[in-house]
Amino acid sequence: MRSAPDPIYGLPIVTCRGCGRSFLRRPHPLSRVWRWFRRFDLAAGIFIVQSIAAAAGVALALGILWSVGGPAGRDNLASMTLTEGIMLLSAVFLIGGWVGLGLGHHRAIPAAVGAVAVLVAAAGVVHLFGLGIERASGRTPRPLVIAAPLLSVLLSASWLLAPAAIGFVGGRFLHRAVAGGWSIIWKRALRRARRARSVA
Amino acid sequence: MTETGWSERVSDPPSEALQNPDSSGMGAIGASVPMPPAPPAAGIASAEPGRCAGQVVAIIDGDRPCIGCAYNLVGQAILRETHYGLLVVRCPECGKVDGIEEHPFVGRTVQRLATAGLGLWIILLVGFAALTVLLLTALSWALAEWFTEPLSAAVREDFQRWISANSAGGFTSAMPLPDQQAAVDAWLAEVGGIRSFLEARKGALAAIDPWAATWSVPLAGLLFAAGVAWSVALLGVGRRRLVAVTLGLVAIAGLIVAGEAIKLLVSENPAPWWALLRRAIAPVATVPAQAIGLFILAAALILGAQLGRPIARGLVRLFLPPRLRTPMAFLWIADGLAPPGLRRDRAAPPG
Repeated sequence: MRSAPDPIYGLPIVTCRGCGRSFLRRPHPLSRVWRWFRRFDLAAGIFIVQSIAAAAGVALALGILWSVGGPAGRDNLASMTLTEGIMLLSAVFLIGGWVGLGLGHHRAIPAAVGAVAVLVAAAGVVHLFGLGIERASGRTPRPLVIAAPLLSVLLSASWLLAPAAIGFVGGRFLHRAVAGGWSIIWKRALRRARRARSVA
Repeated sequence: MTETGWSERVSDPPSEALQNPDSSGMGAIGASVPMPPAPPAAGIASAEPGRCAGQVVAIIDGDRPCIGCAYNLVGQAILRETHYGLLVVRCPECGKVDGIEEHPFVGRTVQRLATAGLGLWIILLVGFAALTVLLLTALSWALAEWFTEPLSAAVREDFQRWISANSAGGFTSAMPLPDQQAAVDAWLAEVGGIRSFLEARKGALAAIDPWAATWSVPLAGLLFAAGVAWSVALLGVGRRRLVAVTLGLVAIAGLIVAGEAIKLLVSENPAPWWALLRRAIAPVATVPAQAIGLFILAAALILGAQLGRPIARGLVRLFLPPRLRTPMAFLWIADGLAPPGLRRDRAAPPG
């Protein structure tokens, strides 16, 4: 039986010729499962990309911290070429940009403070792990000092917060632009749908 | 409850109400489904196109996106509209009315696909269980090796020093295995057994290097991640049963590890000198270290399984904007929590 859109709700309604009962024509279960799967796939894909970006960002940030922070970092910075310096600043800018764009659905200050806190915690864990491995392999006869070297690395690399903050602001701006664009498109589509229904 | 492939759950209207469009169904619903107070417009038909009025018969208590705008309809009232007698829900966001009556699919294709999917899922779970057991056994062996490395190195050095002092350069790894066995036995007799060797140096506790526990951090992290994956894979399983499942995997790994340890302890097959030394330190170092390693990894696995769903929900909240969290609502629904994006006052129907 064919279904015509009913005049009240616009739904595809079929009426049984035998008993007069009205039914709604439903989409095939497989197509519904497929639609759900597509939405799930989109969400899962974005989730995986975000997770990988977060892990890569933390690893990259830790690598940069250890390469330019601390006493050895000064020598590394001094011996850097202009290209290496630009690459370093770009990497820090990109990390800040990801925090602004990827976590753009959160409020700005909690996202920024949380990212810095996660980075400091990860630096502490990596530092402790490195000390433990040195001890386990018997390579470090020096006394076990934990906080001072870590603080030294973090403080001497704190100037990197400036390019990261610029990247963060850029990322937030981009997120707002993209989300605002989608919001405008969405609202227009809703308005069109409502107008079409009221005309019908 | 009606469960469909969309992970949507709808409070079932009574079957009598589905069969007979004229019946209100209020009595039966009132007995089984918590009813919200009827809105003032209940029971009054609306002539305005696109509008919908009728009696509230139930509340959508699961995840169901609107067919028009994908807004999550959870918490919305299911109405028996007055014109056709259909069970419908109206989206508060875009105003679209959608029928929610479900009819069984007569064909067998869906059933066959569902069975195939179930079989595939079981195969995946069995494979994941095998991988977890493999990780537990292999990593506990690796941890035991790292824990006992200082002792193994000390034993090898002492043996080689003793052999160079006593065999006048005649001992090589290419010698016949019985001769190597005799040399190792002679060295063990000289030091008075492996326990005496340990006590002569730092005592029995020196057999295990506590700093080697640092290696257990990344390995325990791996097992913690496996525990999180188990807790998400077995969404229908409660926390206590999840402990039982993970303990079962640990028990299988423990049996394999114990079997290997017994084989190492009772083995008398001829072997090269370094394997004989390894066999000699097994009772005092390798086997206890392996037990400690397995305990650390098992604790990480069980902890990961217990904290897995809150962690997964936290990560979804962290990384996904609210609109994209809807397809992940099963993480919330499995634990009886309100799906993401839902206001608290709509989490549960009143009454």
